[in-house]
Formats: sequence, C-alpha cells, structure tokens
Amino acid sequence: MYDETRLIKKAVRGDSLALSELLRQHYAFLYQYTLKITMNKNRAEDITQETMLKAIEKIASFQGKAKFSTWLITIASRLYVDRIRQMEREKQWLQEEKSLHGIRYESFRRMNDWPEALQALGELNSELRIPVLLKYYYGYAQEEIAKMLDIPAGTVKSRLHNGLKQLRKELTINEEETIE
Amino acid sequence: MKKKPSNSPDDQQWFDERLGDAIRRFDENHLPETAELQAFEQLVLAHKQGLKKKLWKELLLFWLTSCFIFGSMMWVLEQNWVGFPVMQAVIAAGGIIIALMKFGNRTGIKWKS
Repeated sequence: MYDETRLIKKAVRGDSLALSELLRQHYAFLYQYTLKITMNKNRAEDITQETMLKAIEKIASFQGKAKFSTWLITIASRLYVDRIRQMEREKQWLQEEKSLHGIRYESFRRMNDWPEALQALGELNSELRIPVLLKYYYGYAQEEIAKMLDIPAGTVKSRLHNGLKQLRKELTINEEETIE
Repeated sequence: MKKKPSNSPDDQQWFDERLGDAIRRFDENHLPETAELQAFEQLVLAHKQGLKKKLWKELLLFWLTSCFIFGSMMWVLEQNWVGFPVMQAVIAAGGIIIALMKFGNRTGIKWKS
C-alpha cells in the first residue's frame, strides 16, 4: 500500500520518483474528471496531460492544505476554463455539440446505453457543469469550489442553482416525452 | 410563494437519485489504461529538465541584456553627461512597463493547495 502523505512530502522536496508515483496513482481519477467536464475524449486527454505538466512545474508550491487530488482538479478546472475563454463563443458551442456526439457514441459503444441523465449533464454549459459536478458528485462545499475555481462564493451558489434548475427541466421534459 | 433554498439536502438527494448512478457508470466505463510507473517517471524527468533548460536560457538572456545595458550606459556616460540620466529614465520606464505586462497577467493563476 502506498503512503500518500509520505510521497507528497518527498515530491515537494524534489523527489521525481515520488511525484511520478503520485501522478500515476491519480491519473485515472484526473482523466475521469476531465472527461466529465469536457465531455470530449481528446480534450480530456489534453487537459489531463497539461495538468500533469503544471503539477510537475508547481509541486514545490503545494502546501498540503488540500488533498493532492483536489489540487489536481483545481489545476484541471482552471486550465479548462482558461481554454474556454480563449475560444470564440460560437466556435465553442459548435465544439460542445460535436463533443457530445462523440462521447455519446463512445459511451454507447462501451455501456450499450446513453442515459438521459448524461445527456442532460452534457447539455449543461461548462460554466454550470463544473460546479454542479464538484458539489453534487465530488462532495465539495461551495466555499471550496469558489476557491478552486477562483470565483466568488455567490457566483458558485447561483451557478449551482441554475445548473440544477436546467437539469431538472431537461429531465422532466424527457420524462414527459417518454410517458407520451 | 416561498422560494426553495438552493443547494438544500433535497438537491443532493435528487442529484444522487437522478444522475448519481449514471455518472458512476460513466466513470466505470471510461476508466483509462494507466501507463507503467516508468512512463510517468520519464515524463516528470523530461519536463523537469525542460524547465531547468528554460531557466538557464532566461538567466543567460538576463545576463546578456544586463551586460549590454551596462555597456551602453558606460558608453553614454563617457560621451554625453546629459544623455546619461535621460537614458536611465527611459530604461527604468521600459522595465516598469515590461514588469507590469508580465506580472500583471499572472495574478490569479496561483495553484494554492
């Protein structure tokens, strides 16, 4: 069994092997997170790779106040938000539409199913999807999410409210269509 | 009508019931293959080496620029007493502008844990 605290201490001091082990242990978790926020396999791989490079670069500044996994998803979230900002609005919408088709096909191939819940989640704007996932799936508090995304706590609260409202609406519409 | 407070325990329960299982299944079915430790070690070492190289390059550039500026200042001082403070003021202003442009953009991108 590996001792994460010991590995973190060694990695912060500059031990490359300890850092490699830490990154390896968190790779799947990080990829799964980036896949959910991007809903795009290629983009998730890119963000995962960039996050790991950033972590290598900044490991000396890791203070251990949060878990290593939290630190990684903070980096990944901010990298993704930065990338979205760089894209033009229309282009981004087209990309997201295409992404959802891709991941839907891929998931259907692997799971033989594409639940309505995932469709609704995928249709959420990334701005709403990230805090919703962090709060309700990963269990972070609003204040933690605010720090992670570097936005005010009030903004997190309103995004969570709007995100959930949209999810409820989408899933209710789908339910009604199924009944009819 | 009383507005239901957002982020209540009901919201969590609703999310778990309606989306929780689907997302967990999605995660399970998109588990990536994790490379061997050696591959991660290579990535870490290569990136650290790249960063070190970049740092040395920047340091060398800094020294060269410093030498050039110092040489120019000495030359101006020897040639023209009035031009010397003017040149110093221009260089100081340029330095401040570059520093503001470079470090001004960096605020907010701190990966605090």
